[in-house]
Amino acid sequence: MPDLSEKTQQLFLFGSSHRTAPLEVRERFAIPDESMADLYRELKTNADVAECMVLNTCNRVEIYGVAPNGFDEEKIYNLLEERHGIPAKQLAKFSFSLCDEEVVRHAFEVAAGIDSQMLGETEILGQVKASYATASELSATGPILNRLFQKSFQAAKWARTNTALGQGLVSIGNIAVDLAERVCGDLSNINLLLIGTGEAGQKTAQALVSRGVEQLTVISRNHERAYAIADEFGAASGATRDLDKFLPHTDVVIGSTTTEEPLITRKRLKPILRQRPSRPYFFIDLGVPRNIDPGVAKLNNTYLYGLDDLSDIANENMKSRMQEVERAKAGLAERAKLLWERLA
Amino acid sequence: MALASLKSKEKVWHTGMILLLGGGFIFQSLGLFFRGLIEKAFPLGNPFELLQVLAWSAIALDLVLRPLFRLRLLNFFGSGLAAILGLFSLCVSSWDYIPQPSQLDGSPWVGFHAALAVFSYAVFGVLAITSLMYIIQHHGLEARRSGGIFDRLPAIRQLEEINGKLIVFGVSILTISVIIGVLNWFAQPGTVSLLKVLVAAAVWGAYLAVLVLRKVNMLVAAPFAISCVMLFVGALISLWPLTQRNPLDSPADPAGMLSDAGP
Repeated sequence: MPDLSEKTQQLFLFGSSHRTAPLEVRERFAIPDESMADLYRELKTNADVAECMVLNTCNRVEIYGVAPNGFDEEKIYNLLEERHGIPAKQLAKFSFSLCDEEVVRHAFEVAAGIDSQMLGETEILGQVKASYATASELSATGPILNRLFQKSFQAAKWARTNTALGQGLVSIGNIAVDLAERVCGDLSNINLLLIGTGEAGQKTAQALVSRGVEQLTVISRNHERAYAIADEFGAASGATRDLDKFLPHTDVVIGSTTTEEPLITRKRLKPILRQRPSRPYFFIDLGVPRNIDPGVAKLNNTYLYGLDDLSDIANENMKSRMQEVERAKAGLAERAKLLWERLA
Repeated sequence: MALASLKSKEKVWHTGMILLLGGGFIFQSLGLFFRGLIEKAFPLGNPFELLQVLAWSAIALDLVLRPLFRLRLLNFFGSGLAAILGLFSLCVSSWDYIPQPSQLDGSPWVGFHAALAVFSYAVFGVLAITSLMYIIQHHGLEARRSGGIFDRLPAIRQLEEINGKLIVFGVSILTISVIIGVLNWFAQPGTVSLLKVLVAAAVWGAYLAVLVLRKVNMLVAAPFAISCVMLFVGALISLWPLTQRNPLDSPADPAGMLSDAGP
């Protein structure tokens, strides 16, 4: 049975999310997947953490942990600065930390999608499960975190089954479809370009295809992966290096790839716009870091929507369901209290 | 009624609005027809008639273009423009004077020139409406606004294509009108004041310049739409000098205010 009753042992959460940091800061905090094993090792050895799990999504980087000698925030700052180049000053400004029961409540709310930028989204539960699986494989979790996350999955299921949290949600895909129709009109006449093979990008492309898009091209650095996804859609595929070849014939672009520098910049787009000045462009940037330079939005006849923009619209549409969120929060808080009483 | 039909999703409001618009159009057509019978000419003899014909032409174009281009909300905006022009024509009672016979009277080309000029203004009126729709949709997208009117307005791409066709159509008609006006002017020099020639030439030149700039891709999208709305406001203002009478062309041309609109 897990036990946090020892006086100094502490359950903690340290992180940064869309609630504490704007997109441009979150971009800098994102931890590459290939560094994840190192981070787990460093947390255990250098930050004196007995158990840990890192939740790394486009909207949050959160480190859940159990510290045998009490949680030391400074150690985490130093580790992330020294090993991962994240400035400690920025971390202090744009991060948050929680302890004990608050951690349990937060984990439940995250898994249920209540803490998501798009309230009640379902993708986050999959991301939490995937992160937990990674942490388990690396033997980073222990009895306390195992229990916490298994219970959080159950709590998320309870919230979806017993509240209207998951009903009638406005997804990014549907919002993107409406916006594309406002820019381009009849979607059967447009050319859609999907850059990257990210899940959010695929879902958005799927929403557009289901609403009539017939011409789709998938490009990626990994051509095999692009080909596989294009095959699922019955679409064409290509390589990211040929972007300039595809852009002039495209009307809607979905950016959903991992890139250090934006792939589509004002400089790149300007000569292409001269070839098609009266045909509008619609860009959907789902990448973190961003795939499309924000300056592109200033160009004539181009409309750029990022993850934050789409989420803002969705949340605006969902204001009427906030009451349901409050009910779910109360239920989750009750369950978190029960679990904490058993853990402590 | 137009506002109610826009806000309500019930079909009865929409049907009511179409019936009112169609009924109003038929009623106005009859009014203009009887006016024409009295004056024995197309009723363009004073500012009141000119504005009424302009409103009538704009609605006639709306009724044709809406189904042709599948332009949502065109009738809503068109009825708004017609209402404004109609109210404006009633603002000054002295505008509805009895036109005096003119030394240009009797030439069918003068009447044709005036009718074409007014029709081209109506096309520019519809262009101003579609441009206004473009500006509203563009603003909504830029400001990340959704729902409401933004979801019901036509798409940016559709409006851009229609604007391109309307400017070509309007300028073509105005150019034919201007050519006929110039030929009339050569045939009867001194019947038109220099001010009228300059104003008419300025309106034609401005629209031609916008068309050329669009063709060479220097004025497209939002800047083009803004230019079209501003130009139409200017074109409406130009009606005032174009309808002024002076000793040179007095007594007035019964065929219309724009009968001497050529350069």
